[in-house]
Amino acid sequence: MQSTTLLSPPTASSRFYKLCAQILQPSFRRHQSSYRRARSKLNIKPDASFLPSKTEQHDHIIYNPPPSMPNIYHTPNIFLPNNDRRKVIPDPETRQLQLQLSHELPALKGQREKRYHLTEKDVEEMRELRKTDPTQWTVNRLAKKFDCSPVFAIFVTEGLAKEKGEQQKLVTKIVKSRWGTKRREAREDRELRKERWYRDE
Amino acid sequence: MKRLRLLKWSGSVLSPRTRPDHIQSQLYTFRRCLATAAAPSESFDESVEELADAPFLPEEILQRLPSPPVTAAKTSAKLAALHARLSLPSRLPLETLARTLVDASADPSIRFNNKPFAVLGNDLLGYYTSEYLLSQYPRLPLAVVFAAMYAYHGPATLAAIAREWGVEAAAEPGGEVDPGLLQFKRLPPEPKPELPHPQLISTRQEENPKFRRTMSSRSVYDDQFGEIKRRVQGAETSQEKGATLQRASTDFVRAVFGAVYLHAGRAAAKQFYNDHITSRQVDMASLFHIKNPTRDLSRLCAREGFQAPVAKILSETGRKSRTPVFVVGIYSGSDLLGEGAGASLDEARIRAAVAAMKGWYLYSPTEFRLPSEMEEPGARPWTPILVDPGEIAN
Repeated sequence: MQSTTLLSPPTASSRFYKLCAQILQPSFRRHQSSYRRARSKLNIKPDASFLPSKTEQHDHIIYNPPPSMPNIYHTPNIFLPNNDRRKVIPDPETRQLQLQLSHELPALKGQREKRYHLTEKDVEEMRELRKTDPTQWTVNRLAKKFDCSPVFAIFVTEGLAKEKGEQQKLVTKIVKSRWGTKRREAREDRELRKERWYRDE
Repeated sequence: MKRLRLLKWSGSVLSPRTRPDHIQSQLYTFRRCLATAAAPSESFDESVEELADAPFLPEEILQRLPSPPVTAAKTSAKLAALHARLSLPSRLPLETLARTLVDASADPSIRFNNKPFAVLGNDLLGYYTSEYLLSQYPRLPLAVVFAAMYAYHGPATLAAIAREWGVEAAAEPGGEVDPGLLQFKRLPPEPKPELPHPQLISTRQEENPKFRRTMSSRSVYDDQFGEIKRRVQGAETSQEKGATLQRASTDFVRAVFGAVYLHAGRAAAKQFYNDHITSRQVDMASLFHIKNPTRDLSRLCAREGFQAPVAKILSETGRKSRTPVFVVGIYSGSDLLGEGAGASLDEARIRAAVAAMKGWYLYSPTEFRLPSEMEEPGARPWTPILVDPGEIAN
């Protein structure tokens, strides 16, 4: 199991997994002789936050919550209106640090800044191509040719190749009609699961 | 702010003579004029008075009445128990409570059924809930407001409240029935539901799915839950046919709210509302379904003048395994807008965008005042609540 955590000190569990990877050789059999060895090796020291504190003299509360999603009712700072008491306006140093931290994180692929580099003429040409030969000039090919996103190509050429769309629908219908029960159920389940993304539950 | 003199207008609801009633026979009409009477009627038959004064009426007269007589309210243990259980104000008489239990399908006369109270109670519930929602969550989209209204005082909730109050339904309405029971004529069972897809499970039934209804048209033309208003004619025919238990319980709970308002005043009604409706918890975050979360989020950032949102990987594990987990955060400049975890980068990103949109919509001010507070005498000067520029257009 591979575990990478960015920007935060390794947690107890990640250290545990690393230790496991080091000391436990992959073996396919458990023997009476190896059981005790594995058990004693896995008996590792607990996380520092669970050990008795050196600074606190008396009983105290240990706050070490498990990692979990942030509460949805805690509005992000940037979304708070200016007259809200909870709004924190960070000083320049903190802001700089935060910006640096957020820049260090790897961004997801496929996110580009909007460039607005296409002119009216390009758009006209795009439409012409799509109208004349919709089978040759698919949305993806147009996007590649004009160096824009497929979504933009869809917006531009919307409703220009209706027969093509109907043909494609027919093809999809024929393909779907050949699906068996297993595949159909799996696809439907996937749709249901995907619907839950948009409710974030 | 101008005050509405609702109490003045509602005098006609409380007085026994609102309009001549031809359905009832003369004798019983006069006798039953005592129902929640505020002013005595002039033309009063003495023989009927004798009849009405007696706590128990003869059986044959009772059986001819559509709903229990007013005098029976004092003798009903169930009714007194309900009054005490709800700790209703003492200014609300048992007779009125008995009247709120009579549905329009049991007694068509609006002088003896709960219809006028239910109409008032429905309006009160809509007013209190909507002002509470809009003050607490000023940025909610309209669709979520409708769903939340439905969750707070929709028919299903009100029927559940009636059940929690311990109100039982009579098998059949009539004069001899205990007035502490909910009385309505039951809808005869239908042989087959007329739904096109009975296996489809949904909470709302669209009456005309082909007709396109936008959110703005819902807010103008439709009722408080964003549903098409039922036509008056249809309502009358359905009244003759009967009512379902849910419908009757809904009208009963609404009528109780209206009756508390009329008899005990605005403050008592507000208190009653807080005790029974505001105290119910609704998980607002579960009411959202955002179709294009990433697009909406970038539009929101552009509108509010934030930097364009960028999705970044916060942590991940098992990228090449069968069960990977990615945690993606969406950043605008240095600010984290939302965070989501998923088994693929797409899922995590969409979940993070949805969480960011929910974070925007579910903003709640630390302290807020309700417009109805201004109706109280000696209220502090009004401080305006947050008014949002509006939801992100779809």
